[in-house]
Amino acid sequence: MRVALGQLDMVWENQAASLKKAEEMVAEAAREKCDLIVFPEMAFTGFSINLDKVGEDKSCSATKAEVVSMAQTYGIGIAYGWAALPSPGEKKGRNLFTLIDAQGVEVGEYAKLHPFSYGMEHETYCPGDQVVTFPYLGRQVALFICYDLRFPEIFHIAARKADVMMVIANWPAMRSAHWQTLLRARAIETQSYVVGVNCVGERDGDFYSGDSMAVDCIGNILGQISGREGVLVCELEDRAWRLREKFATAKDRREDFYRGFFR
Amino acid sequence: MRQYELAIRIAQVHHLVDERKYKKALAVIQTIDMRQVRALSDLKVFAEVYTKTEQYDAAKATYLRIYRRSHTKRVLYRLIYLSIRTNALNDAEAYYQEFVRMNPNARDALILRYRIDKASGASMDKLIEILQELKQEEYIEEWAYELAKLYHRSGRTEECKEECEDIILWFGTGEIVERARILIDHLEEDDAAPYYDDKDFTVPKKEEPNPEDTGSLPDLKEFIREKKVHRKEEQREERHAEGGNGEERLLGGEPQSKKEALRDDDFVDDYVDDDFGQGDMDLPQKAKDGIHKLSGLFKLGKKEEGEGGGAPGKEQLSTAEMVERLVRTDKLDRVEQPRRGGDLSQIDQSQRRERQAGKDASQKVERQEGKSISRNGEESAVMADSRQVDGMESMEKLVTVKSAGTAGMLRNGEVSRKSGASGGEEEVRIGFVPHSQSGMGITQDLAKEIAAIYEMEHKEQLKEKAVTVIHDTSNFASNVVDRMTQAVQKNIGKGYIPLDIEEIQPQDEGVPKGEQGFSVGADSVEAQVAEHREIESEEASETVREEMAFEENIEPGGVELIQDDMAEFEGEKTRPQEMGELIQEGGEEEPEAVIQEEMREHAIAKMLEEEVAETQKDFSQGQIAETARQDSETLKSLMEEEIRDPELEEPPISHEGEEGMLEEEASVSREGVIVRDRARESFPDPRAAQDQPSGLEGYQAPDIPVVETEYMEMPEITYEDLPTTRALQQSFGNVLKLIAGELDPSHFVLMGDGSERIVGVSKQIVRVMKETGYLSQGRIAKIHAKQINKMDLISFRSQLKGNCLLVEGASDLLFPTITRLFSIMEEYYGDFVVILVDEGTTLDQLFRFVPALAKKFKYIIDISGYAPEDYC
Repeated sequence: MRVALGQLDMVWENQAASLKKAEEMVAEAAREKCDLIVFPEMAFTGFSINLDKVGEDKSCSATKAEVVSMAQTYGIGIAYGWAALPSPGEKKGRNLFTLIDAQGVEVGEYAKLHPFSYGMEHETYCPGDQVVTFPYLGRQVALFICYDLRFPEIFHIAARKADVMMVIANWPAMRSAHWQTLLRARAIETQSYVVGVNCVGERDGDFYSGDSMAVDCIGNILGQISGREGVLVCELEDRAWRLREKFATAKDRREDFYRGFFR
Repeated sequence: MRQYELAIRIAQVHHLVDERKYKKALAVIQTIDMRQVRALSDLKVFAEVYTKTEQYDAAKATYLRIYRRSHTKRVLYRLIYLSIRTNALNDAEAYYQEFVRMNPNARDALILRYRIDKASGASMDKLIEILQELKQEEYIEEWAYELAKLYHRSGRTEECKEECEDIILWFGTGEIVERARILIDHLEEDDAAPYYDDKDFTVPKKEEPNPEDTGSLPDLKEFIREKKVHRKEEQREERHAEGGNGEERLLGGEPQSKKEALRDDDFVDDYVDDDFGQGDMDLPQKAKDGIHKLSGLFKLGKKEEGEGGGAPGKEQLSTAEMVERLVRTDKLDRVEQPRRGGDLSQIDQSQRRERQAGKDASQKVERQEGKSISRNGEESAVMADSRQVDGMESMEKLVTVKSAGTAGMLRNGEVSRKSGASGGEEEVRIGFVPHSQSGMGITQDLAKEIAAIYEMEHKEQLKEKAVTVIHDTSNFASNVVDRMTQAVQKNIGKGYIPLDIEEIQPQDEGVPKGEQGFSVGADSVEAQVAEHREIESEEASETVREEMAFEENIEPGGVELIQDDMAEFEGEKTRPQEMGELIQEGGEEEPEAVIQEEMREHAIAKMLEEEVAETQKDFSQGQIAETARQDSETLKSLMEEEIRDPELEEPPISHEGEEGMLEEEASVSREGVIVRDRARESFPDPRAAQDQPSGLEGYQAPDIPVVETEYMEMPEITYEDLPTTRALQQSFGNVLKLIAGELDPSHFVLMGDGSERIVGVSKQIVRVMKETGYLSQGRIAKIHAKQINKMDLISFRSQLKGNCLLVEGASDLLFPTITRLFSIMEEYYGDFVVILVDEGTTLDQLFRFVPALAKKFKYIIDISGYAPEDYC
C-alpha cells in the first residue's frame, strides 16, 4: 500500500480554502501513484468546538461531496477528519474520520472514542462507541483520532484484525515528543504499520509542528515530515502478519488478567 | 622522564586519540618509557593506538600487560582479536579457552569461535553451525546476513532465501536489508551470474584516516597551549551557560555526566564493540551502520517454551543496552533512521533548523518556527529543493516526500530522521590563539596580565590596611601582636623535636643498639632533645636547640633547619649533623654525634650511588652528568649549616620566655652561605665514600606506599586554579609589602635557583610572616622534595607548626606527599608556611598536575633576578 501523508496547514474554520489546498496535495499524491492520501483531524477547518460553524450534517456533508469528487477525479483514496453535527436526538456532535476510496465510496468511518476533555472537547463532541477496522486494498485498516493515541487498549483491540493503523490529529507542537513516541509505541506493541498525520501551522493560538510519520511494524520510521506543509509518501509493505507469526507477542497478552483491573 | 612530563605526554596521547591522530599518538608513545606507565586507562589507550597503527605485536604486549593486572574478558577479547590478526591462531585458541572459562555470554563466545574457525579455514558447514547457534542466542543483523551468504555459498538456496526474508522482516530497513532483498531477487531470478558480496558487515567500517595525522611528533608546548585555549573556551561557555536559565543548565548537565561515565568506562567486562578485522569503530558510526541486535528473538523449541515471555524481555534489555552503548555519544537512534549513507553535507542548515523546530519541546521555539514557516512558504520551498538526500535507490521507492508543488507548497523535501540527526552534528573547531610560552611558561604569560593589576592592587591593599588601622580599634596590627604573643606563650617550654626523630623511635624499640647503626645516634639525639627541653623549661629566654636526628627513611642531608631566632649561638662548637642539617645548634660536640656523622657519610655515599644508578636508567649521558653535578651540589648543601641573616641579628620581638632571633658565628661561604667548617671537614668526598662500607648496609627501608598513578591522568586546570602571579617580576621589596599587607595567610612559590638566594628570600618572607603574626616560631625547615617524599610527614607535623617548610625541587613532589602537605597546611592554617622552590617550567607542570596544590599558593615569586641586596 502506497500512502501519502497530507500534512496540511488548513485555514481556520474555512472549509473551502482548506479544500483548495488539499486538492493540490491530492493531485500531487495521485501523481506519485499513491493508493491513499490521509489528511489530519478536522482536516479542512482545524480543531474547533464551534460546531455551528464547522459541523456538517452526516447525511449531506458538502465537504464529503467535495472529497468524493476529488477521489474520483484523481483516482485516489482520501481519508480525512471532520466534524459532524449532532444526529437527531443527540446534543453533541461527533469527531469523525472517514475514508473514501478511489471510486468515491465511503469504506470506513470512525467516531473518536476519546474526546479530549482537557480541551473541553467532550462538551461539544460525544465519544464514539466502536473500534473500526475494515478491509482496504487487501489490508485491514483501523482508524483513530488524535487523543485516542494515548489509549493503547483500543489499538490492541484493533490489532486483532488490522495491520494498518491510521491516526489523524491536531497535535500541538508542545507535545510533539509524545506524538512521535506514541506513534512508534503503538506500532511496536501492536506490530502494525502506523500512519500518523498531523496538521502544521498556527491556528486559534495553538502551534502545530506536524511530525507526521509512518512507522513500520517493528518501529522503524519510514518517513517523517516536520514543521512544514507537504506530502510524505510511504510504502507500507505487508510484513506485519508474518512478523506477528514469528515474533508472537500478542499471544502472550493476558487480557483476562488485565480485565480484572478494569472492572 | 619526569613524572609531570610523563603525565603531559600521556594526556597528549589521549588527546590525539580523541582526534583520531593515531600516528601522532604513536610518535608520542615512542618517547615514553612504557615502564613508567601504570594506569590501566593509559595502557588501554596505548594499546588502542598500537592497534590502529597496526603495531599488533606491541598492542598484544600491552594488552597482555593489562591482562596481568586486570583479568577481564574484554582484554582477552582484544588479545584474541590481535592473535588472529597476527595469525597466531594457537595463541588465539589459548586465549579463547581462557575466555570461555570466564563464562562470557554465549554470543561473544560464539562470535569469537567463528572468528577463530574462519581464520583457521574451518569448513563451511562448521561455520554455518556456529552462526545458526548464534542466531538462536541473539539475532544480529550483520551476522544474519553473514549466515545468509554462507548458505548461498554452500548452495543451500532455500535456507539462504529464508534467512534473507527474516532479515527483511526483522530489521525492515537499512543497507543489509537492501542487500538481503538483492540476494533474494538474485535467487528468485535464478541468475546465472554468481552473487558476490565482498562487503563484510561483521567487521566495523574502517575509519577514514584523519588527514592531519601525519605521524610526526607533535609539539608538547603546542598541546599545552591548545589545552589552555580549550579550557578558556569551556570556561567562557560555562559562564555563558550560567547566565542562561535554569532549564538550560539542567539540560547542559546531562552530556557532562555522560562524559564522566565514558571516562569511567575503563576495562569493565564489556566488549560490545567488536572490532575484529578493521579495528575499533566509533560507536555513532556503528549506529549509523545499522547494527541491529535483537536478543532472544529466535529462541526456539524447548528453550522458547521454557522462557516464554522471557524472550521479549531479554530483547528489551539487550536492545536497551545496545542503544545505550551505541548511541550514548550522540543519541543517534538507529531505529529512527530509515536511511543510510545520507550525506551529511547535503543537509543544509535550514533543514536542521526545521527539524529542530519539529523536535523541540519548547513551545516558544515551536511558535517562532511555526510562524516563520507559514509566512515564508516560498522560501521554504526553495530550501526544500536542496533536501534531496542521497541514499540507496531501493530506499527511494520506499520513502519519498512530495509537496503539493504549487504556491506555498514544498517540493521534494524528503525528510529523514536519520539524516537529520546525523546532519545535526557540527564540527566545532576552537580557534587557537598562540601566545608566548617562553621562559617560565604559564606563570610568566600571566605576568603581563597581572603586572597592570599589581600596582592597583598594591595600592588597594595599602589603602585597605590604612583604613583598618585608622578606624578599627582592634586593628590588624594589634591582632598580630596578640596572636604572636599567644603563639610565643604557647611555645614556652616546648622543645623542638627534629623532624625525623619521632618516626625512628618506635622502630628502634626492641632493636639492639648498634644493630641498625642508627640507634645509637638516635638515642643520643633523643637524650639531647630531652636535655634541651629541660633547659627550656628552666630558662625560658634561652634559645631552643634544634637538632635533626638521622632517620631511617630519610636520605641523609634531606632536611635542613634554618633557625633564625637563637639567642645563643655556639657555631664554633657545633657538631656535625645527623640528617638534615641544623643551621644552628648549641652544645658541645658529643661522641654520639661523631658516630652519627660517620654513619651519615656512609649513608650519603650510598644514597648518591643509588641515585646515580637510578638516574642512569632514565637519563641520557648528558643528563647523568647533570644529575651527578646536582648531587654534588646537594652534598654541598648538606654541608651548609647556617645562613646568616643580618636583619634577623637583632631580635625583632623580645618577650619573656620567647625564643629570640639568633645570630651565629660562622664562616661565610662564597655564596654568602654560612658553612660550618667542621661540617665541611666531616664530609668526605661523596665519590670516595662510595668505596667505604655504608652505614645503611643491611638496612631494609620500610615500604613507602606508592599511590597508583591514576592521578597522572591530566586534570584540568584553570587559570583561576593557578597561583596568582602578583609577585612575579616585581621587586622583592614590593613583594614583601604585599605579603605584609595580606589579610589571609599564604604559601609561596619561588621560581629560580641558587641556594643562597632561595634561603635569603625565604628568610625574608618568614620574617614578614612572623612579624604579621602568621608564624609563631619562624624557623625554616629546608628539604628536598625527593627526601620529603620518603618521609612520613604527618608524624612530624607538630614540629612544623609555627614554622616554614621550604621544599626544594618541588616539582618532584609526589602525590601522597602533596596530600600530606595539604592536611598539615589545613591543620596549621595561619601558623604554617610552605615555600616551594623549583624552576618555573617544572612548577607549571606541577600545578597542572595537581591543581589543588596550585590553589593553595597565592604567590609565585620569580627570584631569578634578585640580587643579594634585595633579600639581605
